[in-house]
Amino acid sequence: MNVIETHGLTKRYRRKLAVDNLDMTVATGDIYGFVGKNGSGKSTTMKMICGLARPTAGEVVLFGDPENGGATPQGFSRIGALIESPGVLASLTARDNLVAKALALGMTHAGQVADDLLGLVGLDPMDHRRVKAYSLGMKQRLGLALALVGSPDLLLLDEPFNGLDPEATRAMRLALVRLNHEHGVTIMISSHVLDQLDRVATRFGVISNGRLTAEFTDGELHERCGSSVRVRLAQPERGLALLERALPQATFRAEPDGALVVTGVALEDVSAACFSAGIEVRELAQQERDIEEYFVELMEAGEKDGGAR
Amino acid sequence: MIALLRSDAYRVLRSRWIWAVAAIVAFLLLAPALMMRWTSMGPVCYDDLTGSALAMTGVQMLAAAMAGIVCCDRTDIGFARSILSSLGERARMAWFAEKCVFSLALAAVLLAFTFVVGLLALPISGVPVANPEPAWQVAAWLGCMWLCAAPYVVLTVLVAHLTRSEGVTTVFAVLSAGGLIEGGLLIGVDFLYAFLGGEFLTVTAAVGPWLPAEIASAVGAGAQTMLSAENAVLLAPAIRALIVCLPLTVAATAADALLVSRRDVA
Repeated sequence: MNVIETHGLTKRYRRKLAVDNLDMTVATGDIYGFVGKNGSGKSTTMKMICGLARPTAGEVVLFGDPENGGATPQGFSRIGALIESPGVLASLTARDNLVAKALALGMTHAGQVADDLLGLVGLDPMDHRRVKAYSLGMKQRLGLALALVGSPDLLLLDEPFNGLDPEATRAMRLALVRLNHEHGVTIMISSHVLDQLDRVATRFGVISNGRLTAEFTDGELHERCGSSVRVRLAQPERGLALLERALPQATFRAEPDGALVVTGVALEDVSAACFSAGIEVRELAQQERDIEEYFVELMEAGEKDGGAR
Repeated sequence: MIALLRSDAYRVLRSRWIWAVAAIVAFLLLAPALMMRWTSMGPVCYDDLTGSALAMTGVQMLAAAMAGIVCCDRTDIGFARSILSSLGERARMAWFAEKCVFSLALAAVLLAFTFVVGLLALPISGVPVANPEPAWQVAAWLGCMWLCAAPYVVLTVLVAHLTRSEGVTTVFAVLSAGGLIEGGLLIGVDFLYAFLGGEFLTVTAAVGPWLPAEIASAVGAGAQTMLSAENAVLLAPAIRALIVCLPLTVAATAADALLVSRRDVA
């Protein structure tokens, strides 16, 4: 079942088209990495999904039910969200923040819920400091705990790794994976920290100029960013002709420095082909395609398409 | 709604500002009473309880300002967003209505607190009350005081939700509860009327007694004045409060719940 389905989702703020006819799906159990540049429409899309903003056109279908948007009979949503800044009451303690939200959602044993969630995100329930004294990373963790009040089935996290130090980033990442694996929570994360996103996400969506330019799985991403062979030849043009003949299954791309990037074959195959054809090799190396570079390419391609429209 | 009210009550009771407000109110009522006892200065005797013994001026303004704090703490918008993202469509409307209801309840608590501390201050001051009103009149007077504060409280909530600005909301709370906004508007209309050839202050004379600030002022004068129809419009201020303040409060609450709740939260 799809937890989120958007059909022609559009949001216009006066003259600016923030989200343009966006169709996306997030399936149950996904950790969906939502990638895009600043101002590409990520936050607006997430706000529309959790009902904080109304679409100008199109619709959001949650939990396969277009009627009640995934709300419980009591009127509570099955969604927890951390959008933009952590939503905290700075003049209260972390525990008070969680108790206040738990009470608002009509939960009994609000204190116990608060203590459990603080433990889950690695904050001390006995910490009596007011939240205004917290670091940004601690506020982010509290924001996550607030989003988790009510045991949501879908978690929307907008830049959850912002302001976190490496240890806190790791803790946040592990907490998200644990929520997904142990509690079956579907998670949608937007983030600029692509290496962190790559470690947790099972599916990706790339948004550019308010349009979804690509959607793919973790496996597909690594296939596309798989290894290639970089080879620099003494006579590049002659060498390319000979290699194309010797390795018909490979694809070749010329680099600005004259080197060739060969994909679809192993390094040993390239080495053997060069040796057999008597090509003088000056450099031969295995290389991985940078995931970040790949995402940037996708986003720029989307921008060009948008510009052309 | 009950769950949301409990949450707001918890949030407010755990905040420091509410205790600061309580301390300031208590100080402002008890300090003069102590001064009267120690220095033997002040009146020899109060005429009645509601008209002269209990000083409750400014409570409406304070209630409106408190509504502004509840709905517009600059650090709270993210928290509101966190709760609203967990509410369905109908529960979201209830959230907006609850803010009005909670602010009205807070105004009632403030009024009751001020009244109780005011009563405590009387024996401390040592000044007797010559003709205290019967209990039902005092209760009706308190209810009417609350009713007069209600439109300002709810309009402040509405402005807070519309503007999402603490500064604008606070200025509105102070100016509106002080009667400056309605007074200013009325004078503006009077100038326009005079400019068009009418007699200056004609509009004020006709509409003035029906303005919430004017009604609040008449109610504030005491239970006797509140129930007396001997005035320009020959209608007791208590009745005028029911005719003007109650519908205004209901309309502003409905506007907040039905219209403002449809706006994007962020």
